[in-house]
Amino acid sequence: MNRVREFIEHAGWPRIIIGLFLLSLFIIAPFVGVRVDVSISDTLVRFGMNGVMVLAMVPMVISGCGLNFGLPLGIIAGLLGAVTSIEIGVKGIPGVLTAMAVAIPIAVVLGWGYGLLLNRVKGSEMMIATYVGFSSVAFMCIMWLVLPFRSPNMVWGYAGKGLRTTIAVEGYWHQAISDIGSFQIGEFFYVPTGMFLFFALLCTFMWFFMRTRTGTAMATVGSNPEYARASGVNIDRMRTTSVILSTVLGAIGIIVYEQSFGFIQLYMGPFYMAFPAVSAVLIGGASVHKATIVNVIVGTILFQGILTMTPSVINSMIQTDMSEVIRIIVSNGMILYALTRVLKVKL
Amino acid sequence: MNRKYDYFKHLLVQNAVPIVFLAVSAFAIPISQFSGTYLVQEMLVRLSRNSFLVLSLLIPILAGMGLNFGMVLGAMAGQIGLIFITDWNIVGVHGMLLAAIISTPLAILLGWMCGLILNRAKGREMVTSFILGFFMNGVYQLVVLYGFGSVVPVTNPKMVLSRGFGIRNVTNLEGIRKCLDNLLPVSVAGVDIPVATFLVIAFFCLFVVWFRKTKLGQDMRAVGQDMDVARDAGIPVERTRLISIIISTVLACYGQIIFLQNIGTMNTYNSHEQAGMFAIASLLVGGASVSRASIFNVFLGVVLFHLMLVVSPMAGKYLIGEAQLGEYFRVFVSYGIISLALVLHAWRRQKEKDRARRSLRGIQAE
Amino acid sequence: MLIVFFAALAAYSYNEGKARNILIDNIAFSSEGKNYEAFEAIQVIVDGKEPSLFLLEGDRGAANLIGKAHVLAVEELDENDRVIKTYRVSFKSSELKGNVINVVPLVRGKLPGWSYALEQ
Repeated sequence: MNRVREFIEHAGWPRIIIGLFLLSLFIIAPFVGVRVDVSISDTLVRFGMNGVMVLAMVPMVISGCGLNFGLPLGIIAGLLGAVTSIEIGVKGIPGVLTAMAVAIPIAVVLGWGYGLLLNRVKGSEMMIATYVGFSSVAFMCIMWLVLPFRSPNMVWGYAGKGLRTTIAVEGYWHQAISDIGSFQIGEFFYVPTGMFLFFALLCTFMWFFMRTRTGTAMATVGSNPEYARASGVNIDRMRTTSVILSTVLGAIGIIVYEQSFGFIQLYMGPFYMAFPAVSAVLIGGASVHKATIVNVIVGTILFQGILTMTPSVINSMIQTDMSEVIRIIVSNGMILYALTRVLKVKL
Repeated sequence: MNRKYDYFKHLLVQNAVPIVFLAVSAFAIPISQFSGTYLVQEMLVRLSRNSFLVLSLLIPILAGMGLNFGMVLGAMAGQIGLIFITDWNIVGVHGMLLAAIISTPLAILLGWMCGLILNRAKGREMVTSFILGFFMNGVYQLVVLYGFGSVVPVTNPKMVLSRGFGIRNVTNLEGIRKCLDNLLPVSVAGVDIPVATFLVIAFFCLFVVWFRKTKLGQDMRAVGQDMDVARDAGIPVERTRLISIIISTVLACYGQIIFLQNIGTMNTYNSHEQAGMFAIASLLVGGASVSRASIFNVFLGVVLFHLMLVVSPMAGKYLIGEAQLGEYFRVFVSYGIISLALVLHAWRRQKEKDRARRSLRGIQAE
Repeated sequence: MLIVFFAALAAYSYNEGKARNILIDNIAFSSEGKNYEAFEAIQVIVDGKEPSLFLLEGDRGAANLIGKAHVLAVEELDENDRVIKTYRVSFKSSELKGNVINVVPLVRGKLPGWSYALEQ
């Protein structure tokens, strides 16, 4: 009994409630005509798709920069990489790698500038991150129209220039990563092992990184800046590094997302993309000041599970499409809950 | 000589945002090829339409709560009131009044809830109210898209979606269209002036000025400057903050009704979202900061911001040949301005903190 | 106390602002054995507002009533569309028994049956 209580305290009531809710959805599913194997498969796929972007939240939280609402910056770097890869016309895994190879340097530069900015505004990072994210997406809207891309798959047919809103990666590197080692049971159950492997790789990398000197320094900066300064750690440099890391992960994350989803979404697509990632990591138990890899994994599963199951089950139950509304309420509700958790005083 | 230069530089930094805006507008107006009369008329309309909403932001800033993104909640309350009067077919100023009266309790409730939540997130009020806005948007959609017509009786079938419940995307407010504006119509040199609306706005400005002088207003200012000092002085900090948010939400509710009566149609699911964004952008453009805002900022901001809104699509079209570009440019500038203002404010605050800390340490080092 | 004020204002606004769409008929009317012909041509002005309704014999027009008390001005027209006679009738919204008003009994002293519901 004690063990159970400990687990509950450790996990926190909101997570338990959400976990039970998700479980109940899976149990109800077959009774309302929703195939369980499709649901599980969908959840797994979405877990792989979003995992890396949720992981991107971790570095900045650890270093005390708060939740990375400015994830769109990293996403933009990733988008640039993706369209460049299609412009060049590389297919398959090399295509994905090209995309990443282009995206990562861009992400580093963007992350560096972003980090410098955040260092000047300590205390208001989250708010500014949000608006910097919005402004950059809006700015890129102009850029997507103007940049000299020519590949016929990507530009508006009529004028021949300016990128389309949605670009299909079908025929290039659709599911390039997902398909590695993937298997399919029956008609509906598809397991994208490749994505899981990739995600696990990144998680392991993250895990090791946190144990290096840089990693621990980053964590110290976040939890106890005075001590960090006294130990000779350059706080601003650590914070900038965390921001760069977060942005790069965001860039990689969107590429993973796209290769599974099948489409590159430009213009206003990335506008709100930070919010699901923030919600997911918060559902997993992270807070504004603390995030672990376990938070990421648990959070992504729970969040994507709810996002997949709720629409199908509830739609079948009351014959109406409530998915969008429920999505809004759940994801924002989680963020609200995290924001209002009163800080325990550190002595 | 040096002092004057410093003062000038300080003025420049302090008012960087409106100056930038003025410059961009001055550049863009001739390009857009709009006539002067048209612009003046357009600005008057927008002033009458939006000022109330922006004014509702003043009180939370006074109380140190930052930019009240939760004003969207007030806008939603106002819209629900409007849905009711449209359903019951109440027209004219009476309709508007009734909508305001119905929405007030709802706005108070929402403002109370918002204030409670913000009190639990001290130091992070702006992000929290921002997300709260999104969250309530979800709840609003739940109520209006599913509740109306099923749980809440709607008698007018024209307002309901074809499936039998839920309000349509566009609610026609023909009945109260421009009812306040046309109450006292005055026309000067071909420009229509909605006198009644301006009277309401002027009355409200007086209210704000008066309010600042009351005990409650002074309490709020004290809380805004330093919560701990205020608490020591015996001011009920939490309650004061709560009241400031409630007032702001109710005012936003009325502001949204005024806004919608001018436009005449309501995008049931979208009108309120823009309300918050535009109002906050306008205030910031007018030179206000997160911790300080005056009535002058409100009006200057509305004019400058909307000037840019009106002019840039056309300017973009003539400049680059693509109207769509002007549209994106406008979105970019709106968000960019908010970012700029927020950054400047936070930067200044941090510099002050650094300076204070350094001076302390300097004393200690001696 | 403030609540009372608001409630009163709300009630007042509701009554003054409540709008109703009605139909105005110009058809022959009979009651108590007497028959009345419909007007050949009339112009109906509702509460003094433009636009006025032009109704020939047997026509039906639509109008909007706002508030509680109304005045209907019925102008009888000759072949040259000049006004021969003007009837003025006031009535209250509460007197309406349905959404249709027939001007014929209405102007002849509000004979019972001047207001009725839409058949269908």
